[in-house]
Amino acid sequence: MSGGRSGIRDWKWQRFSAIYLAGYLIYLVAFLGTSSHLNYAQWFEFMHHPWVKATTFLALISLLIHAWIGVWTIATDYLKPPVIRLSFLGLVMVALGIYFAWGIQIMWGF
Amino acid sequence: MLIDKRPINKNPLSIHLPITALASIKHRISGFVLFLAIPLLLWALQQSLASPSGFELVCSFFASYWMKLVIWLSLASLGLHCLLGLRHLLMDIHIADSLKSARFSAWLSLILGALLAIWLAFYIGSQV
Repeated sequence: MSGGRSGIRDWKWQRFSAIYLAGYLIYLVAFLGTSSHLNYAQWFEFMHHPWVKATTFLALISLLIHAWIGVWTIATDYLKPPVIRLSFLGLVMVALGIYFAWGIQIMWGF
Repeated sequence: MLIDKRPINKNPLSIHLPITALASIKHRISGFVLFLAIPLLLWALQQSLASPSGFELVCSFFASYWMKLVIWLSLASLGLHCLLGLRHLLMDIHIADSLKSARFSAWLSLILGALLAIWLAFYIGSQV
């Protein structure tokens, strides 16, 4: 992703992940909006449902893809010296990798 | 080698941005804020699901003044980012992609984003 010859792939991934995240967000806000004084039991039960778990994990993956393309675009525009840009993007990639592992741990850990 | 002698304006604040450019830069800034908020989101998700005491911990942590400010910034950024993102998705399918309507939708997204930010400030501020 990115650094290839064509930006079309990034463009598509950015849009698909955006649409998925928007849908997931609406669904989450609808749940939070309709449950007043949310407690642990309700929250746990909601997130524990297989469908919610799966769609949440997919939302996390979409978020990481979306963030990578966005940060890559910003870095390409504003960080001109290659050493600085590539170091920054390397750090971002490591961070996103950690978030991915962390996300797996969260989703399978409860 | 030619030496470039064109004048350079080094003060970005003196540049008057067209509204569409302002929308674009705000889309980027809000997106970067959201990128920075990812670890906080993951931490809150993990703790809130781990145990009832973890859930309480997240609630009390977010009840502090400074964390409320962080939550407000994150949610206001999320709202604005979604509005500006929706604007782009509509433009992709050729809805409101003329210069005139792009200016209008830029204004509309920024105003709605600002109204949402004001509402969030009151809403988050009123939570105990």
